[in-house]
Amino acid sequence: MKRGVLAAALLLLVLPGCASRERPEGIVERWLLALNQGGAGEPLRYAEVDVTNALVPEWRSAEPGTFDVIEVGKGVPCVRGPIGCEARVPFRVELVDGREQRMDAFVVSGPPSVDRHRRVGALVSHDETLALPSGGGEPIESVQVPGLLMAAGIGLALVFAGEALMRLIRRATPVIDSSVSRVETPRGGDHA
Amino acid sequence: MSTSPPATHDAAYRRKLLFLLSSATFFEGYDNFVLSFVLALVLVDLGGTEAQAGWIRAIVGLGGFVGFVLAAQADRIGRKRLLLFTILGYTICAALTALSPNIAFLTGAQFASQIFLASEWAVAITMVTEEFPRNERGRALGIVTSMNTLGGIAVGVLAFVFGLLPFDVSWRIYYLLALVPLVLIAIGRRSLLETERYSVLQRSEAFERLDHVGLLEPWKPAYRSTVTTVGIVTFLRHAVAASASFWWAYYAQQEVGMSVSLSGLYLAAAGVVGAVGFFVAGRLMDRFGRKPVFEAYMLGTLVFGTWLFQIHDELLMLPVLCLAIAFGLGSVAVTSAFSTEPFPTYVRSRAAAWCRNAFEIPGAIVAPLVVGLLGDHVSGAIGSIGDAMSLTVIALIPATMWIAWRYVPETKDANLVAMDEAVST
Repeated sequence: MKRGVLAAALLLLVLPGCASRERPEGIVERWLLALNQGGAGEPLRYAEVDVTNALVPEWRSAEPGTFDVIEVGKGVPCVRGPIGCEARVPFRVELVDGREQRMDAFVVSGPPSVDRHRRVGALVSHDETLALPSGGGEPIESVQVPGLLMAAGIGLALVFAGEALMRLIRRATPVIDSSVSRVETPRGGDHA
Repeated sequence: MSTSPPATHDAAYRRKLLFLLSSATFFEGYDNFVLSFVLALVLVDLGGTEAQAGWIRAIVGLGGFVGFVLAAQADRIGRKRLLLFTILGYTICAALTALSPNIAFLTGAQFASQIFLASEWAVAITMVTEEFPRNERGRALGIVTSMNTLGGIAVGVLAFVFGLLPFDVSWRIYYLLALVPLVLIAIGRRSLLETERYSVLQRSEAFERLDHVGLLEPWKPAYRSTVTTVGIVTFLRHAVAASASFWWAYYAQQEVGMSVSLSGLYLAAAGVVGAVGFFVAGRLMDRFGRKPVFEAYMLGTLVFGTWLFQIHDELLMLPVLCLAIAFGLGSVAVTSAFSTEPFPTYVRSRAAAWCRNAFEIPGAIVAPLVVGLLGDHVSGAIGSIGDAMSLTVIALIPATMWIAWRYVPETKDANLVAMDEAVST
């Protein structure tokens, strides 16, 4: 009974962690990372073709590593934007030759014209009020106290589990091999 | 049982041995890093997608796990013969990788490479344990294990040199270049001797009586507790070290906003400075014992590993990265001692293979995957790789410290001769 309650409590703790949602910032980032791989990255999984062409016109034949820096900031819900717009996400890319582009991506949802339901639907010039993490802006997500407590709790559970396992093994195997560590011999080597 | 060493196992021979064994760990670092480094170029050249790249990584990683079966053969055929076999096998696989006509062929060649590399590692640390006197064993393990990091740095140096050339260099060159030292090392290893401990055991009456074949021999009651403890400790430690190594560059580039070139430069610099951590661990464990040094290193990993993934300042990143590498990766010198010294010669290589290949390598496969799932920017429960990584350190390292302190035997003064004699009688 006690074990059942414990298992249920653990399940309740873990299940919220499994719940997932699609962050628009992640979609923008994946698109930029895919674009940075050239054609092999298949960036059209994450964005409309005209949007992709607008940022890197020759992406299909580009070598991997077009961007030296890819940075995505925390997005905000759309106030204005294309149909189906869900979020406006700031980003900057720095090319290997040092040139930099700062833009905002509109992440839209609706009838898919690409593999993904949510995708980058349009690009607009950067809104300076949306700061990037390197400029002091918020990261996409940041850990809170419950997260820290959960990690510490998992650590504690691992300690108990390890302790229980080792006790079980030692009880089942009475021949303890710790004698090998207590061989009293002079320092200097095993070679006679 | 005779314990007189042949005259050839002297200090000069041990220096040569150290050099020839260091290549095992060097090329493991080189091979692991070079694949990550050139994968994007491989996909373009041979035709492939990022999804396929994930499969390549997973299949190649499994090779290290399968290497367990080969590594265990060192107790049956001897350390020297297996070492020669693995370097030959790895050299052929490196050549096949360079000649790969398609992605499937490359994956197969790299999978086989990992089998040989993983076995080579287990045999190399077994040989160090058996050939070096107690007061030098820690230092020798520190040197051999540090080469793994330096192997990774060698890839960065090559990439930098190739970048200066006025023409594009194919990814195949990275594998072809490795063939030159590999062939030289293979020739050098022919002059190696069988380890003194294994030779003595082979000449003893007990040799026929002891089980040199069974893969489950390290799980018999006499060793079960130690194999389990060391296995859990290496699994947890390596889970943290491997996921931090795997995700740091991503964190620095995607969440801190560092450039690819700057993060590469940081990694190379920190790798060189961090390699000091291996040497220091080796020296310290000869002096203070294995367990106190391991606990100190794990404490350093807990502090600097957690901090590293919360830093958003580029200047602060470098010193903390150096310290995290020195403590986190440097502690492998101690776990190498944990996985070899508590076991008698007839079963040592199989015990080392269990601890490393069956526990450590799965840790290196599972943990980066879990951190990636939790920290995924699109759908991860945490949504930040940095936070997922810090929380992983907090969850795993204290448990590692506790289990090691409570149950891993201290082997600083373990006498391998006495241990073998006890088993023989």
